Amino acid sequence: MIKFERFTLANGLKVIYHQDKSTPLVCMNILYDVGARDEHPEHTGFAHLFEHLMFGGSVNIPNYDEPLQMVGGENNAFTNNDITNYYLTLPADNAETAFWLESDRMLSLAFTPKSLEVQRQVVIEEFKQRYLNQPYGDVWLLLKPLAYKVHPYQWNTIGKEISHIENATMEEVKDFFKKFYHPANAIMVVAGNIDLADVKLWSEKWFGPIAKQTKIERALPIEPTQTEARKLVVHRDVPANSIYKAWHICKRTDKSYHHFDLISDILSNGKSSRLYLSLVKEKKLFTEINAYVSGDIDNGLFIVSGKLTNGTNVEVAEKEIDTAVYQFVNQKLAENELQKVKNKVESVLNFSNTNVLNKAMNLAYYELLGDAEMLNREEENYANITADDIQLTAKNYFTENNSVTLHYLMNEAKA
Amino acid sequence: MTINRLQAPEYTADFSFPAIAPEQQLLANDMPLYVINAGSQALCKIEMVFNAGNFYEPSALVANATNALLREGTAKQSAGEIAELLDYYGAFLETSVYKDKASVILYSLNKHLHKTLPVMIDLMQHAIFPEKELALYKTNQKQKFLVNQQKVDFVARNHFNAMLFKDTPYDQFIEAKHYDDLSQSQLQSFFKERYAGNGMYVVIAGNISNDVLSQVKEAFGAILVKETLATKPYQNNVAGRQELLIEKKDAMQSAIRIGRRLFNKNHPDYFGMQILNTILGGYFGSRLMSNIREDKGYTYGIGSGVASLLHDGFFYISTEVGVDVTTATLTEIYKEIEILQQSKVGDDELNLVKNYLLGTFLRSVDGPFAMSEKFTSIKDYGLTNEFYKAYVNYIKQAKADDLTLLAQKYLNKNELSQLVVGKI
Repeated sequence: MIKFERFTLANGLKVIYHQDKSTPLVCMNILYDVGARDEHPEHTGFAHLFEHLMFGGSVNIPNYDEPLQMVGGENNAFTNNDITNYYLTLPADNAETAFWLESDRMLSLAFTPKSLEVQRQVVIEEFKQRYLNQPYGDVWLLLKPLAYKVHPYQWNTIGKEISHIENATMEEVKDFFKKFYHPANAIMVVAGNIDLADVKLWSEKWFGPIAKQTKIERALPIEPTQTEARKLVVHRDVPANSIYKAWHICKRTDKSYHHFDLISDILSNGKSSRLYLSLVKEKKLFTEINAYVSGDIDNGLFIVSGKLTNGTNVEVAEKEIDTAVYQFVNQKLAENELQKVKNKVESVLNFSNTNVLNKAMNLAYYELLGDAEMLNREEENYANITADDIQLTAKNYFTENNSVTLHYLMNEAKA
Repeated sequence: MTINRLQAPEYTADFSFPAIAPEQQLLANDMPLYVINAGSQALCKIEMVFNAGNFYEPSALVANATNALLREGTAKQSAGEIAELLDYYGAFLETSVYKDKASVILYSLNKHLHKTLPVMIDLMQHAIFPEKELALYKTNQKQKFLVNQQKVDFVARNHFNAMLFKDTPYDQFIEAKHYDDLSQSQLQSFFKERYAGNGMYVVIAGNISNDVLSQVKEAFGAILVKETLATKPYQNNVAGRQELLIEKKDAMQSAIRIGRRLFNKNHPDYFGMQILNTILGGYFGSRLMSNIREDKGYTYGIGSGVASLLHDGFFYISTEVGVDVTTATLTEIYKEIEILQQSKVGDDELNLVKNYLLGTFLRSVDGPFAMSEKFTSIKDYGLTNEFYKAYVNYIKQAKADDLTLLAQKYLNKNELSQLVVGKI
């Protein structure tokens, strides 16, 4: 149970406070409700590039990192399809520095041409390092546009192509800031060894004066129901064939989401999981295989991916994946197996609550989903799931017509 | 309220650090048990530490395979039974091999410990390394290795370690054939010599109730403890500069490694090198990051580190950069090193790095799990909490002149080896 308090400033900034007296630290997590899904289709990768620019100095503070390091703090950030999340940790005595730093970059950035020039280059190197200069690195660049034809999840956070990043202009940067970086579009969590009175005082002092702006309601195109299986085969210079098979699923706040999460655990979480036991250990068709949910806020994907052992027929391997997934449709889950994955979820939730930064991040994310209190109901939500629930969800979503398959194969010469 | 946003709030660098001093108990069999009791969630982390790192292996990968296959079957339980039980009770078993030591960690909810702990106790005494599990390990890990061989960063790490530590027990250059060569008897004898109660100790951290403590004491106290085997002789030499280019024709980025053998935590210059390294490449605001990423945009990241080994140590710089700027990056790296040798670090920068390191240290001792890591990382060196106290004091008093001397002493180009994997 994570106890917290909530208040909202006059300018619309939501603040969540959680006290943890056992740590000498304070964490501040600021989630901006903007992600890659909010980008223009011809200017992708922008939310992430913007995240880099948030470290390029703000209107009154020329360097973000230095003052934080000077007080013994550390920070980072990430961008995904849905959100851009900034977090920092610092010694509790120096907590006010976090309010000062974060409020200034919410107020306005420095927008120096040098920062844009350099970060554009840094992000291009990141694109190469993580997606292009890696075996299997372009899998998601291929799979997402296959799965989504209309919804912006069709592109990756890094962007569709390097040219989109190369072409970013300062004007676009400023527009993006104006549109998404303001108090009403943010959720701030302050957690750790700090008193509520201080959090209230410093929130008002530093964030209070930032002008109020109206939050723009999102109107994203809805991905139409897929009516025919989709398949793509590519050849690359890799040492092993691999299969990625995905099914369209519900959005994050749908109660079916938890069912998919448990199904993925049953299939591949741990050495007693079904796919590992049958396809890796017993039949030796795969050297590794995983099932997971994408975790997106809008309708997401349930994915099974694996690398094949040498000489295994790709079609045979895919059939085995199908059999394992469609078994949830055809056959009710045994109580014992369901209990096992529930126990695992209970354990994971408990271990994740040992870390104050995790707690801060989770509170912000659940608040975005609708209510931070949902975090405290997660254990119960999972505990209440029945085998019938899971079978019904599987029936609704696990069909061949709803699937997307990528065969990522070795170049012929190597096979 | 008028506020001055140009003015940073007041701050302090006078933090109070908890002592890394677990309560030590000697079990019935004389095995040492270290207890760190903190945290509110009813769960715990139990770590067993063995002298079973790569340093001791008879040939490459034996230490890794032995450690990984501990959980794949004992005289009493099959691999499947072990996995099912641990998964059913939501426990996590983490097995790791380092250069010097190997470890097995059990993460468990306290309420399930009576089910999960016996599994851990059984496998570290009675693992049998079944042929079929080993065969599976060889096939799957070899494929993983072949995938990794396509990553410039992995290739660089593999070769660079060999460049620095050739012909020493720390040289672990991995090739595909090493997977094929692994045999059951090798693993069984390595297990017999290095695990199974040989010179091990246990660290338990978390919310340690009396019930948890008595279970742990009883279980570990009943193990048959054997003497630690003698360590291998070791000569800590510093080789001169070597240069190596491993060409990858279609690479978009090159991986760069520059470094040398150095010393470990027991050396009087260890603290100083920690600070010097931080300034050069040890944090986001470091000189290498500021120059090569934040000024020139050549890379997504560049860093440096000082690593301690039980009998040796090394310093390294590592990055991945666009192939067109590989040469330019090398020039800039050496330039930054020369600047450290030639001009004193300014007060502002030194002060910032000191505060940053103190804050980093505070973060690294936050919570029982972090503390247990801090403990195991000094224990084998014969060090105690006095080491951390001395570290904090050193940081507070460090002088710029000392750092210049260290740069002159340890960062000479003719003693630094250089490896590029990719294209120049």
